[in-house]
Amino acid sequence: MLQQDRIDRVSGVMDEAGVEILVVYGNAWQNDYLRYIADFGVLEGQALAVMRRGGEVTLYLDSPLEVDRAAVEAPGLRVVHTPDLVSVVGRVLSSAANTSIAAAPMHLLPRGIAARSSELRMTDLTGRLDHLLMNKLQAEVDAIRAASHLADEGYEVFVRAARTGRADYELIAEVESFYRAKGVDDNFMIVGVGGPEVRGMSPPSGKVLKPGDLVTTELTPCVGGYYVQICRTLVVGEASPEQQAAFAIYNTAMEAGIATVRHGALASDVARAENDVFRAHGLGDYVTDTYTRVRGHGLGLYVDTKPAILESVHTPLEAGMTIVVHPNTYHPVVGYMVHGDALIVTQNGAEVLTRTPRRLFQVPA
Amino acid sequence: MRRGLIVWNPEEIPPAALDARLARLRAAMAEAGLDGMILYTNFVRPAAVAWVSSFSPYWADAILFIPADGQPIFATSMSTRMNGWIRTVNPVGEVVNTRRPGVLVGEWLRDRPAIGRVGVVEIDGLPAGIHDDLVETAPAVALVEASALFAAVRGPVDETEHHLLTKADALARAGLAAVDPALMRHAGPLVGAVEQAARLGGAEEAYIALAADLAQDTRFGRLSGDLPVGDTFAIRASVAYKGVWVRRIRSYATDPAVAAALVGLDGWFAALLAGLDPGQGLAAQVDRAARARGAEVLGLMVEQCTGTYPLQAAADAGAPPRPGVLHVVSLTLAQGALTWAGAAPVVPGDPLGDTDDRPDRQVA
Repeated sequence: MLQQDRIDRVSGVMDEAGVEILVVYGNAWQNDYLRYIADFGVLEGQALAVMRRGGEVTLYLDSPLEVDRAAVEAPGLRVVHTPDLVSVVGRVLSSAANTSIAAAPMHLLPRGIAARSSELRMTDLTGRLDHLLMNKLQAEVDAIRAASHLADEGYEVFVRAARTGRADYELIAEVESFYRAKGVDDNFMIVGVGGPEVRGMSPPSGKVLKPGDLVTTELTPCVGGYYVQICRTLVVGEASPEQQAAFAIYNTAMEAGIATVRHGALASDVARAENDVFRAHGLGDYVTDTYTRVRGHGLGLYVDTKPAILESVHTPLEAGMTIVVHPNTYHPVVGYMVHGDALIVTQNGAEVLTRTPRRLFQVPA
Repeated sequence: MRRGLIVWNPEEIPPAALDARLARLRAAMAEAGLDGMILYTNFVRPAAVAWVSSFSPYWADAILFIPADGQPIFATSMSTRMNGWIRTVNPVGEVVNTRRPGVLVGEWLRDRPAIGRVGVVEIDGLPAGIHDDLVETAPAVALVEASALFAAVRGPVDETEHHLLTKADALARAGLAAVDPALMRHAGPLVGAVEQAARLGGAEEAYIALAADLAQDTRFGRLSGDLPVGDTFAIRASVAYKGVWVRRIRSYATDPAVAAALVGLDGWFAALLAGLDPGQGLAAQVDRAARARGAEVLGLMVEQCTGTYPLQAAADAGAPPRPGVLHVVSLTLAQGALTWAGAAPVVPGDPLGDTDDRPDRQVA
């Protein structure tokens, strides 16, 4: 069972670190550490999970609605409702005096708990859990692989929905409805609509599609807690020669990045391979943080996990990691474009998960 | 994760309304001897900052620092690339991009020696990274708990929020009206229809939960896909519109007679909420009324928005409500063989109206 395997891994880490009790924080935005040990995706409110080295997990939730959800969706989980997470969990930790306590992710831990770090002799286990989150169990990789078709299918729905006169939020409404029908409970999705004035993607703002627009989207369905991502760009109507030329660069960059992926390659190698394509076309300015955040990132129990694919990040890729390679950035002639595929790092390369054709899509104007 | 329409509409959220809220907050700060106020925002805790600035985050976190006078500072960990977007949804304050919002605001405080006390809403819940940066950068400034002060100022619904609540409620009701229990017999199409209707209407966010078989279990889960539903089921639509949230629950049945009985209870519940006495505890009134009709109360919750959470179970539902404050009442009861669940927003003494407003659409 995947959950038991995850618990066993964390127990092993706790054992190595000499930790008896691990307290983990989570909310709907940053849920990976919590979900790893509690196997529950909190949606409203906040949560703290307390795990003992032997594997016993207690989940503390401050929302009574989430307590009900946990009873329905995770009936085997021990759940405690408390409107005052800090006080109640604080007392739990206090009662464990003279035992070794650790926490993660430390920077998000509520101040009311973190302030007692010295008193509780609480150490930071974030880095070790980061390693577990990045280097996945085979069952986790299989789960991501099994869900990847939903990224492709969601994009098909998006393309079918994209027509002149429709607003950006209407496209997302259709994708979300599709995903609920398919059992996909969550999805991270942002869009961009327009031309050279568009510098990035964001939640929909009411932009209405018109002929000539580039419509970008990053679509990230979540199945069983695991996120898969695809990035694609479409044109409303026939793509201009400039748009086609720009896309060719993005596609070449993505493929160069993917070709660099293998066990032992560094995240920086992948980023450099992508960026060098842009530089070769005189677009070196547009691979800086003025115009782009990352050139890809990890995928897992969070939309945007480590490692960040950047020339400044020298994390070695290891077989079994799941990442997305996406040279998304601004193009000075046509505007913001995106292009990205999810993949599993293998010993000698990459198993690409998303199968949507690598082309600049065009929809009827 | 936010996927809905996020945009600031100055007609719906006038700058003057935001100015008035800021003025009220500053007056309370002055009375409490505070030189500033810090409000935290992230995806889960957006309400305090949204009330002051109209901003709702979809990613990352931020703090809004409100000095006693002068422009507020919105310190966000989002990159400068997003400032164009931030400006479309946040008309208040100076936007500053930083990986460490606590350091930035701390430096601002440190450079003004006259500043001695700064209130923080929900200080114990502030992420440790931000709190520690503030303390280490501005050690001479006392950070004090200010949740009660903020709740006292924020509580009553003003005209702007009233409009937004009415709109959010209309979207929730429209979503729930999209359900056809005879045709939709699985979770996915049911919740998908509700969510799609709400999002097409311009909802900023829509969380749709399902109690799949009221005869077996009245608790709601985030269910979808091909899970079959029972002959009676209930759907909870939690809908956000421009930063304000409501919940509605509606119960459904395939049997027409049962469906009619559920609709009858819907009407009873609506009338009950409309007639609540603002001078008495809401939960007690609802509980009494349910028992008076011979029902067994299986669940009762009263929620409010007083801090960073959009809706939160009221700490003291037994106390009379503060005038003009939004409450969401959720009730589940059993009456004979019938189980019914309902929820609705209410501002005791100030009913929410209807609106046919179309959502914002911009021609790019």
